[in-house]
Amino acid sequence: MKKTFLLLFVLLSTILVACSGNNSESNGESGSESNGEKMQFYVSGDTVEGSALTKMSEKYTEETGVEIEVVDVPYDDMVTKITNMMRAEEPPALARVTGFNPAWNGKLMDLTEVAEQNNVMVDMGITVEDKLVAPPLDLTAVGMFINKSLFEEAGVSYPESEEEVWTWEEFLNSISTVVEETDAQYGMVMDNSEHRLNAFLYQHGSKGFYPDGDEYTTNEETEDALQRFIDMNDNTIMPKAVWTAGEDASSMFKSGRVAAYMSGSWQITDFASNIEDFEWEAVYMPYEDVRATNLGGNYLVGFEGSGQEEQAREFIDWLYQKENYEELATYGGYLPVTEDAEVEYELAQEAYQLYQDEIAASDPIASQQRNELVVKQLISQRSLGSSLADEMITTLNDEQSLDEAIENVKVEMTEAYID
Amino acid sequence: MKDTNKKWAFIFIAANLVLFLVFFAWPAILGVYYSLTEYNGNVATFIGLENYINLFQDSSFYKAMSRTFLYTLIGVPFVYVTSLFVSVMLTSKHTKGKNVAKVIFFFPWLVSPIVVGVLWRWMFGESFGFVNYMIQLIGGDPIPWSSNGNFAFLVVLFATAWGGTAFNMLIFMGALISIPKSLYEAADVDGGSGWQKFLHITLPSIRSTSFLVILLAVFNLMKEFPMVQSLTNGGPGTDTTFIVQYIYETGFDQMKVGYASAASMVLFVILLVFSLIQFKFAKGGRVDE
Repeated sequence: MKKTFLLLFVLLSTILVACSGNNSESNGESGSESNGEKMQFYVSGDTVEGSALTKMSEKYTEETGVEIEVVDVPYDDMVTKITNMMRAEEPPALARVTGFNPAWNGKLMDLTEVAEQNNVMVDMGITVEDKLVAPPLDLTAVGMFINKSLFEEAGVSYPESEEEVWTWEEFLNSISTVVEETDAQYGMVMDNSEHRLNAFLYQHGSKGFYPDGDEYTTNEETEDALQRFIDMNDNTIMPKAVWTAGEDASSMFKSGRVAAYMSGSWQITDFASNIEDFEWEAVYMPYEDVRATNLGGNYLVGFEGSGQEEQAREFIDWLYQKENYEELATYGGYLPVTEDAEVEYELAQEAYQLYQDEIAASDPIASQQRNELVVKQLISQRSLGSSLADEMITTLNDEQSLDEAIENVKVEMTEAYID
Repeated sequence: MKDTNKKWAFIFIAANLVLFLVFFAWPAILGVYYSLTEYNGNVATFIGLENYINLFQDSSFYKAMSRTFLYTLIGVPFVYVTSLFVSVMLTSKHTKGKNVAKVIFFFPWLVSPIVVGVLWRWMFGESFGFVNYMIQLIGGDPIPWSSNGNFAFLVVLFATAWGGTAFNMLIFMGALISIPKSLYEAADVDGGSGWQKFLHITLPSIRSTSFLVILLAVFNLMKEFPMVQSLTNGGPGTDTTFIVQYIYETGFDQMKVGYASAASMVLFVILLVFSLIQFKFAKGGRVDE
């Protein structure tokens, strides 16, 4: 009896293993088949950005006959998805990414030449051991939007040229007046995001968190700025629920009852086509010590081992050519990353111009910090999510003091990047 | 004869057994191993019991755990009372429009927990939610549904009861209908009030059903994740972060997979204890009548 059972068990497991073996084999076959024909380009993006790359891929197919399959992956899954594909030794040819995983290190194509030929701003990309492994594809920057209708109703002015840029004091006074004079519910909202908070910190003279000897530390200005941020979350200037409970800042601003919104250039296309109930405007961000934004954006990477490295390189070269890149930036509403690009945006041209000014006037910390942190995602063993944002959320909810929060961030960054 | 039966029994469960081993037992063993390593998703380094030692000194783990217990402790009776109340109403001969009501109460069971979360978030949104809008219309002050920990907890409890009523209602209604009518008729003859009948006939008759409902609810609430994730995302701060979300966040956001595995092992042991208690009371699955 026991024997029968054992025999049966072995038989069933063999069948199961055999089946799974077959599956992976056939997957492998279909994988190599597609390698021969279509090049896979992994992209995550909303309809605007995703369709921009699809349009360019179609144009490339028309011109060269090389087919490209644009695969849309949810933003949060991108890094995990590609890491798994690499583990299975079947990476896609190309991907547009914002984050990296240590497993990718050493498996990204060296794109130094391609980038230099096409005047791509190489210092905005990721360079590991003198190889440019991830050139920038587009650039985003943190910025301020205001509800112009509310400002006009309250009779409050705002800076319209760089000479009139406001300080945080002036800005906070202005939005308080707007809240008093109109039916606005809040003075401002800021996305629940470390990236936006960092811009706020830089403007107050913070240098962010940086290594000093064998541990991470920060300067005094960081604490003062964070204290100001906590004070602003008083349910009058800013709604506390956005940071502590993750309410959607963007839809609050779009409701028309918030005076100002600290977000970034990626909102322009959306606002220009979707806000109809009131007039909005991109304005210069306030400053305290220095003017600063925080740069972000996507990188373009090609993978070694996809079997299509040459085709991928040709496509990247084609995409960065002046005429093609300008077309891509127009479709996607991107700030360009090639030095000679002149982009004619279909919507809100002046908002894009303002962002260019903002970037030009920004303290260098705005780009340095971003690139350092992203390089760390690629070369250290453990990557850190948004440590500062997480600690600030619990601080805002009175679960710990600001000092404890800062101390925790230092310890977490030291553990992740130094130990 | 007996042996042949046994053989066939094994044959019938063989497919399930294999699936169980491949998709449950094997990952579980892997989980035990990972809990003894420092694992970031790429390289696993064996570190012995260090994860467990750190875990038992981690105040955020205790907070998530105690929040989960509190949620279960208040949530289970709440779910039990609401579903029983609804079922009694729906089986009562005095109620009108039972069929429509059944559909309405059953509706939450048809939508995914994530949608339940989104719906409640929309209703109880703090700045522009439906409920606060109504409160302001009648001249009241908006309530901080999401930025105040206690209110957020309350909203989660309501949503849990709303989402959990449907399934329990079905079980209860089945049990209520099968209570012999003669018992109630006898009580009527003796002049028992409605409340007395409920207390002395209805409740004792559905004892085993109640037991089942409470146990299932305990497990469901201890493991609650998708609904809360989409309703409050554990906020404000970590006030509604329950243990499964804590495990998810340490494992996938902070990439401390080993540490998260250790936390899930602790959850596993707790749930195992509950199952053993249940097994003891239910006498190994035999329903006592």
